[in-house]
This record gives sequence, C-alpha cells and structure tokens, in this order.
Amino acid sequence: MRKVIICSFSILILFVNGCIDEINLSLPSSANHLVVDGMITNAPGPYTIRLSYSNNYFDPYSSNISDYNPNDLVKKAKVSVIDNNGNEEVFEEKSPGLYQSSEDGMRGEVGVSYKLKIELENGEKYESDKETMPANVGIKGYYTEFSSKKYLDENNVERSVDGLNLSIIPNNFDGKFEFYRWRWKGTYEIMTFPELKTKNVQGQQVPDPPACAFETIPDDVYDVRCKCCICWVTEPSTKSIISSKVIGNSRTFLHFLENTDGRLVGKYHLNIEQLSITKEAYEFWNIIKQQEDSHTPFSITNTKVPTNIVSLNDENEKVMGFFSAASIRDSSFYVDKSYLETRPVPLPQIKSDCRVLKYSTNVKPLFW
Amino acid sequence: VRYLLTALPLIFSLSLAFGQDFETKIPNHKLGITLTKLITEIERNENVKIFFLPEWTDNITIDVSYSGQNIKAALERILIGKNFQIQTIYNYGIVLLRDPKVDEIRREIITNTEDEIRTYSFGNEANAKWGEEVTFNGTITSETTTEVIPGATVYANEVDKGTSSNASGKFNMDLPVGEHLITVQGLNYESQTFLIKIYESAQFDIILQENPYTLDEIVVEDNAINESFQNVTAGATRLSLEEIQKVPSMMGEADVIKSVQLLPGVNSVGEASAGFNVRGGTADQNLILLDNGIIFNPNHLFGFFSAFHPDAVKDVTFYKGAIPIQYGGKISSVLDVRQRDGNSKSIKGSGGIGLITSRLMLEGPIAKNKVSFMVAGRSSYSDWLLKKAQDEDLRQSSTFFYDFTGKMSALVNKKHKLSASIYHSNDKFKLANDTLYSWQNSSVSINFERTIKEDMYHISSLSAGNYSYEIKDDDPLEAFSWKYGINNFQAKSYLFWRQKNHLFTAGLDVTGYEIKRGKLEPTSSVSTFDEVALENEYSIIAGAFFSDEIQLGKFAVIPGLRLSNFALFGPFTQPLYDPEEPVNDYSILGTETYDKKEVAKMYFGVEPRIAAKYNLNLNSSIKASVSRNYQYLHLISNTTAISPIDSWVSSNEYIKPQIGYQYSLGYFYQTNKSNITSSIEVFYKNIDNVPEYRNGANLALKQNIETELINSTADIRGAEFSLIKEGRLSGQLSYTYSSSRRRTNTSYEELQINNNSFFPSNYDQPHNVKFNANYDISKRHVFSVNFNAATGRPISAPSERFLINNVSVINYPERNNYRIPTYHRLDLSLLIRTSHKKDKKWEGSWTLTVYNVYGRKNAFSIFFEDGTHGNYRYPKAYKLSILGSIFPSVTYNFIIK
Repeated sequence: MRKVIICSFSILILFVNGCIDEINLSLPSSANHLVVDGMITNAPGPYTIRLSYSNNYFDPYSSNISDYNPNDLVKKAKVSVIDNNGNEEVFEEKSPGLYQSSEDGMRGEVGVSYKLKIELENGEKYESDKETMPANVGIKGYYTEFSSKKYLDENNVERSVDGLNLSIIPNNFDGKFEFYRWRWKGTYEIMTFPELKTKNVQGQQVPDPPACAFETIPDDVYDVRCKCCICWVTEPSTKSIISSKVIGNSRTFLHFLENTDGRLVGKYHLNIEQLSITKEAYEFWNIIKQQEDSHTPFSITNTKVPTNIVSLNDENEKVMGFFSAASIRDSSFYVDKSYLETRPVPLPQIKSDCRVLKYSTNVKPLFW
Repeated sequence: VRYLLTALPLIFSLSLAFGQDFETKIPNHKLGITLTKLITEIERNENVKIFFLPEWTDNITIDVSYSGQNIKAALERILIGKNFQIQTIYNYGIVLLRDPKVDEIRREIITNTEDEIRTYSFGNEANAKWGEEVTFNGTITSETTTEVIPGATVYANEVDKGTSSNASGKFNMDLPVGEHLITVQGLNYESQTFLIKIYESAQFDIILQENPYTLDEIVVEDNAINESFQNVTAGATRLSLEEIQKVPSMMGEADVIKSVQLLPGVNSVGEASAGFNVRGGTADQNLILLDNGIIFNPNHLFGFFSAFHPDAVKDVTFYKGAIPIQYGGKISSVLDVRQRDGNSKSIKGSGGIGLITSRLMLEGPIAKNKVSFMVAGRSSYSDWLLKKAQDEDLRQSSTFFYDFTGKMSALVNKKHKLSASIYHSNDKFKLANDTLYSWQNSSVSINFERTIKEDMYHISSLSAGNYSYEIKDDDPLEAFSWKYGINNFQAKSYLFWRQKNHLFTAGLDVTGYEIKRGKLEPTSSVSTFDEVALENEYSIIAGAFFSDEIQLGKFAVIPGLRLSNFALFGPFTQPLYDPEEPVNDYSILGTETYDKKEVAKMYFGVEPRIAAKYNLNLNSSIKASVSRNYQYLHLISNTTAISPIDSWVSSNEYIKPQIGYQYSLGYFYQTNKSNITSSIEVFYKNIDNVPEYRNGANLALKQNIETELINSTADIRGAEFSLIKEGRLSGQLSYTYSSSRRRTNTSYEELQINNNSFFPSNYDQPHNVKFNANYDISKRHVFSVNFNAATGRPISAPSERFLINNVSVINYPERNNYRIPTYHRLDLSLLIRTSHKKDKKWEGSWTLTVYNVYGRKNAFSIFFEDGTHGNYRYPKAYKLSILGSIFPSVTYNFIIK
C-alpha cells in the first residue's frame, strides 16, 4: 500500500519539475552507546552474544559484522545468561566482541525465562529484561510469484528489475498472541573466470591468472573443477521480517529474489527460519521494519528504537539492541523457478577468484 | 522640463519682494495669434523680458485685442482660469508660473487613463467672466440599465473640489471659469475622466459604464478591511474575490485557500498541501464551508489547486480567533465560503484558460429580477504535460480533475430569499502501473433567509455532503480496491434580533455523520491482498447556541454560549481494554457491542465564547476574546499535510473529544484616511485530547485505531503583527511568531513520546514573514509581488546506527528534534487587461505569473538513503523539493457581459 502512495507522489513530483538533492545535515550525534545483539533459541547451541558500540548515523557502515572497525567491538566483557531455574551460562569471548556459550552448555527451552548479564572491562554493569521463550507453530507453506519492481538508480533514473516474490504461510495460530520473526539464507552457485585475469604492464594487458585457477579441489576425485572458478554464495536476510496473529497476516512477504547476477540461472536454495518471539521483541523488530519501509520522501514519523537492556550503574544511559529468547522452526527448499517469466540474468563475466565475492565460498554446501 | 518647473518658484520666490508694477503697454497685435506669438511681439517692441515655456502658451489663442492695455493686467486676463501666476522682477521681467502640483495631478491622471480624454466646451469663451465661478450640473445614469446612479462622485482634480449625485442621480457644483479635469466615479462603475472648458454655467449628463472587472465584490472589497477593524471579534477576516485574484498563484488562477494562507497566523507546510494550519492547530481543526455545506478535502491535484471555483466565489470569511457562536465542531478556524448569486437581469459569464485548467461560469435570470442561476465548472487537461515527459511510465500516467458548482437564488419577495447550491469535485490520478487514485467531494445545500421584521433576521440551512476516496489497482497480482467515505448532513436555523444596543443571535443545529472507515478488497482471484473491512461509525452532534452583542458606547462585548452533544450510535463494537494496561491490541479484555440506534458513547460540551472590543479613540481599539471549542471528529494522518488517504474517525470511549481553549488580545490601529491598518495580536491556545501517534503506529485500515494513538496536549502561543495598506499601492506585511508544541500525558513509559516532555508539532513553524503588494501601474496593468518565508518544519532525525542480526538499525532519539531548511519564496504576477470599450460584450485579461522567481528548491521533506561503495554503505541525506525551479505560467481570463 505504501508503494502506491509513494509512486503517486513521485509521479507528481516529476510532473511539476520537483527534485531530489543531496544535502549536508549537521545532525545531533549520540553514538558510542553499547549495542547488544544476542539470542537464546531452542536450537542446539552454541549461542552467541555480540557487543559493540553504535556508530554515528553518517559513518559508512557494512551489514557484515566482520567489516566493523575493531574499536567499535566491545572486548573483555563478562557475559552470562541466567534462566529462571537459576542456571547460569558464561559466554566466552571467541573473537573481539563475539561471546559464545559452550558447545555442551545451556540449551534453550520453550517456556523458560532468560536474562542477560554484562559487565564491561571498566566495571559498568548491564542487564536485560526477562525474556520467556514462546512456543512455535511451524511453517505451513510458501508461495512464489513473479514480480517486477521499480527503483531509482544513482542518477535518480527509474529502472526496473524483475524476479520472484517469496512469501510464507505459517501454520494456523492457536495461541492468544503470537509474534514471529523470519530469517532466511539463500544459496546459489556462481562461476567466474580467474584464468582470464590480466594485469597492466607498461600499458599492455598481460595475462595474470591466480594460481588457484589451475588447481582443483583436493580430496575429491569426482570434482575436477578449478579451485576458484565455482563458488556458492550464501546471502542472509538483512531486513526485519515479522508477522503476528493480531495484525492478521496470513501470508508474510519474505523476500524479493532479484533476477540479477546469476541468482536464478541455476538452482536457488532457500533456508527459512521461523522465530517465535516475545511481544517486546516483536515491537523492537516492528519499529525496525517501519524504518526500512520509510526510506522515502513521504515517510511516516521515524521513532526511537526500543531496547530491553538497561544500565545498572546509570539508569539514564542509553543502551541499544535486544536480547531475545526465541523458539525456531526451519524449512529448506529449492525455489521453483518456473514462475520466472523472463530469462534468468547471468552473472557478468568476472575475471577473478570467485571467493572474493561477497558471502562467497568454494566449499560446496552439504545440501547441494 | 519638470525640474525647471519645480525650480522656478524657488528661484523667483526670492525676487518677489522686489517686484514692481509695470507701466508697459501692449503694442498693436493681430487677432487669432497664439500667446507665444504675442509675447514675442511684446518682447520685440518693448523693453521687457517675459519668462515662460512655449508649451504653456502655444495653445492659447488671442481672439480679443489687448492693445494699449497694461501688460500685466492683460496677461492676467488672458491667463485667468488656467492656473497661472504672474510675478514681476524689478521693472523689466515678467515670470509666468504654473503651480507644479496642478501639472503633476494632470499628468498623473492623463497617464493613467488609457482612453483618450475627451474634451467638452460649455458656453462661449467670449462671454467668460474670468476669475468667477459658474455652475456645472447634470444627471448621472448607468449605460446598461439606464437607471440613475445615486452616490457617484464628480471631482474636479485641479481645484480639489467634489460633489456626489443625489438619490435621483443629480449633481451640482460650482467651478471657476476655465479648464478642469473632471473624474466621475460610481461604485461598480468604471470611472471616467474628461476635460471640460467651462465658460458659462452648463448642464452635462454623464453616462457611466458598469465596471467590467470588479463585479459586485468591489463593495465588499472596499469595506472588508474596514470591517475587520470595526468588527468586535478579533481574528475575523473577510476576503473578496478581488483580493483573492490579485494574489500570484502558481498556475495563474485565483485560489481561495492560497489567499487564506497569506493571512498572519495561517501556515502551510509546503507546496503540495491545500491543508493549512491556523494558529498552531492541525489541518483537521478547520471548518470549511461552501454555502453552509461542509467540505472535507478542499484539494485538487494533491493541493496544487484548491477545490473552489474562483469565479463562483462571492466572498470568503475566515475566523481564527473567537469563532462566532453559530459555527461549531472545529477548534482552530472557520473558512466560510459563499458563492455568488446569479445576475438577475441578464446572462453573463466569465472564465479562464490556463496551462493546466480551464473554467467557465455562467449566470443569469430565470425569472427577471426574481430568480437567477449561476453554474460554474472547471476541468484540467494536464495530461499533455505528462505526455511530454521523458519517462515512459510518466507518459502512461494520467491525472484529471474537475469540479462543478451551481446556485439558484430566488427572491421570493422583498423579505424572503431562498437559494440552493450544489457542488461536486472529482480528482483522478492514474499511474502507469494501473493504480488509480480518486477522490471526490459533494455538497448540496438549501439556504433560506428571511426578514421577519425590520430588526429580526432569520437564516435556515439544510445541507448534505459526501467525501470519499478510492485507490484501485488492476494489476491481477496486486488487484485491490480501497474505499473510504464520509457522509454528512446538517440542519441549522438561527435568528438575529437587534434591540437597541443589543444584537441577539440564537439557534440550533444538528449534524450527522456516517463514516465508512475503509474497506480493502482484493479484486482478482490471485491478488495478494486479503479483505479488510472496518466498521462504519454513525454519530450525531446537536448544538444550541446563544449570544448577545452589546454596545455600550466605546465598549462592545459579545458573550455567547454553545452547548453541544455528541452521540456515537450503533451498530458499533467497542473493544474494552484492561484499565491497568496501556490501550493496545494485547490489553483487550473483551468487547461491548451496540445495536443499531443504541448510543455507544455520549459526550457533552459546554463552549463559552466571549469577544470584547474597546475603542480607545476613532483610530484605535483593543480587542480580546476567550473561547472554548469542542471537536468530536479527528483526522488520522501521519503525513504533515492533508493527503487523500487520511481518514476521519469519531470520538469513542477511548478517543476523547478535543477541547480547545483560546485566549487572545489585540491592539488595532487605523489611520485617519483609513488606508493603513495595523494590528498586534497575541494568543495562547491549549488543546486537550489531541491524538498523537505512538511510536511505530500502524494507521492504515486499523479497526481499533485508539491503540495507535496517545492522548496529548497541545500548547500553542504566538503573536501576530500586521500592516495593511490600501490604495493604488496596496498590500499587507505580516509577521507571525507561534510555537506549537505537544506533550503526551501517559504514565506508560513505552507510550511516552520524548519522555512526556514538550516537542514541536509536525507543522510548527515559529517564524513566518509574509509580504504581498499590488500596484496598479495603470488601469489596465496590475503588478503583484508575494513573498513568504517560514522556519522549516520539524522532522525526526537519526542519530546513530547499529547492527543486529545482520540488520542495520537506525535510532531516532527524539521525535521532531531537527528542522528542515527555512522555506522562502518570491512570486510575481502581472495582470494585463485588454482595452475595453463601451459596447464590448467580451472583456479579456492575461495573468502572467512567475512562481518561485529565484527558483529556490524549498525542502518539502528530508529523507535518508544509502550510497554503496564496496562492502560499505554511505548514508546520505536528501531533500525533496516539490518545486525544483522557477515556475512561469500564463492564464487568459475573460468576462462575457
């Protein structure tokens, strides 16, 4: 529905010669707040808690935590999770800012409440509200349809891209209130041409293939492909996808699978996770969802993002993020490409090691 | 030459003391020569020097012999009545002086009159008794009706002498023998200037043409500003069509709403908004009436045009202070638009052709002098602009709107007037992707006015109206139809009764609403939409009111009281929320169901309103008012301007009526000639139960919308300064300071906005300067300038970002903590009237408008988007300007007589 309204206005703007210009804003900055990103689930552990500091809005950012500035990662903190039965699990720092429970440690259970405790190196203490893990009903089915979507490119020229819209239908709700968050991971195969790589020598392009272009994967006599020509890209969901019984979504839109970069040339594997979350967690993700939907000129009022973490030393200190307890059901399948009404768009010829691409690996996934 | 003329009196005033009488006599001369020639003769023959300009004397002919007469006496005789002074220097020089003021006056009049100035001679010059006065009299009649015109003025410019015609159109005045530029003016008539050479008493009948441009409205125009000065109520403004037409508008078409936005205390958030905010109130707190019918969305084309046909409008009265007692239901203002009654004598019309719209109005008698009609329509044809667009999708889009209005008026007899009005407006906007967006307003009203006896006047009105919108998509996968509508009816009857120094107003009104809150339906079997249908709301508001305007010498006061009763009727389902919990979807304990005609909720409002005025002297007064208003219907919108998808909801158990208190105090000053009026007003407003949107509110198609709202209080304070000048150069300069703040008052922390502390409302624009000037370059050319500057409105700006579960999250620490850049804009317009002749049936004029002269890209909003580089994304801020450049337009307007 928003789309409708936005389009109408955009047309109007063009019609009366309106325009969009980049401007410099000196926004009030209030970065460097503690950010907590953690979850206990009923899936087998280990579970992770990430601690970092928030960035200024206009700082460049990456949706990949590995691109983070090391100074923004919170090191040497004491992190533990306590359940309502008094069990405590201590999370060890595995890498800067990344805290993990032990392999054979705590396992989340539906109906049990969990609380996160953090003590920073400087002695500052933080605590989350109690999160009680709700039950989960599972996924009933999914839905695929062809779609195309318009967007403005960097020069504000409207372009369109087609692809498949993926939606899911959960099993019939039976509880009083149920809140779901959805995550997905999509995997597809790509092929690059590292053997064609060249370099510039005194104005001349001379061949410069990396060594891996002539090596094969060891330990697999049947797999004679070049070590860095064929890779699998596993892209994660980077949006807040939620649904609830109250809002009455029988079908939840999951993702628009773009017909670009070779995604739909071969098979596309999708793993969907259904996370049953608390009302508080739902409200947290709901605000984020609204933010995502509102990157438009006629956006609705953006608002403060809630949190369930408080500082024990200073109650006015702002803390960001959420500690969640969620039960998980998942489902995996290959996307039905017969819905695609256009030709699959291949990956442009890339003359380099396929592993340098984002989310790419040359290790064949087990399910492939 | 002009400098010489002005310098002469200065130089020679010094010499005057030395003046001596001349003994020189005039030599023999021929008859029929010019005075220039005669002077040359004198200078050649006598030892005398005469200073003069030949252009003064070239057209004075000497028909009588002055031979042998004293030169000074002779010159006096020749020049008498011609505005000359004769001065002598010593015994050899004579200076002919003309009063430069008289020349200035003449020159100005002559340059300002396009028509050739006709000359009429009366009497025989030979019989002229120079220096004496003669009588000039006659009758003034109208060309069109051939009736006599009472009250027309006859003015002799140079001698600054005037008279006016009596009830039978006769005038009579004494003038010195000689030449006079006479100007004759009558209300609604075109003024006429001619030159008379009067030597003997004469009779002259004058015929005036009806003024082709300023119709009946000129009467209002002349009094409007005066009236607001004399009005007891502060903050009441009447605008005439004439004033509205002078304001430069974007598409060159007079616009009622845009004119109202020029008044101090009235803001709008930008170009694409026909909604306006009055003294810090929301756009839904304005009651907009068209011949007493309620108009919900006064918008065409997303606010670029207002929905009132400019030629059909007679006048517009706008109240922003204490709202008169006969109006109820809204807190901030009343915009009462009245349509013209058709001409009851002959068929007339007017219209215009612009770049985007064309319009036509026709009026005339059905039964002469008894029953008249007026019909007007307007339609857009902006599609051709879209077809010119580069973008394929734009070319496939289309936009269209029209409106139609009509009025029939009947003078039943001298004491009874009956009129019926009908109005319909429609907007359609179709996108290339098959989404059709349409909205319409309809209103029908019957008004009956009768004079019961000389001091008692009774007005009754019945009206019904509808506002609805629909969004439709035909693309099978997304096919849907979303409909919203609101129907209303109103019956109103009130009485004015004057008794000595009292004017009583009393009456009753009943207003009913049916709100069809929304229905979303999938319109194809594969559509991804599910059906959502919200429950309709039925409500009736009954009101009774009484006020008394009491005049006590210099003091006048209007105490008044309005009682209102709101009832929400079934069928209605009210969820009941846990009183210990915030009102949300999770705290519903059960529901209460009300059957048809059962009262689901009732509110009773006591609305006292008092306005007072104290005249300090003839030129200045102090006005004060206190009022309390109730509003039972609320517009739910999270955009800043009125947009077509906003929806109105009724009050219910949880959505309380808004209660507004306003206190205002003002000082008003008017100069003696009443061409300059200035005022200072301060006001304070407090509005309880303003619905504010909670963080993360979901407003679209939400049945129990109360869960998305938080009760808040508005605190508004401000001051308005205004300076109005009338005359050839007319205009208004105003400055408004207003602070419009909100504060939520909930004890639940998760619902509090900015921790229950004050924050600026979405449309808060503290500083606002407006300047509008119109200069009548000549009778045919009017040049107008319009400038508007306002503080940028607030937005919620992001402060920080973090990553959680691969999802990037932005935190907006506070609501409305940042402002978009200052808004300012300059518009110019030139009105060119084509020449008009007496017998012309068609009068045309061109309006050339340059909107946003220096092409400022005023921000409508600011939004944020990311640029990408490698693995990183770079957030950027963008501003959206509705108008990205200078916008010139041309409109041709015409009047059919």
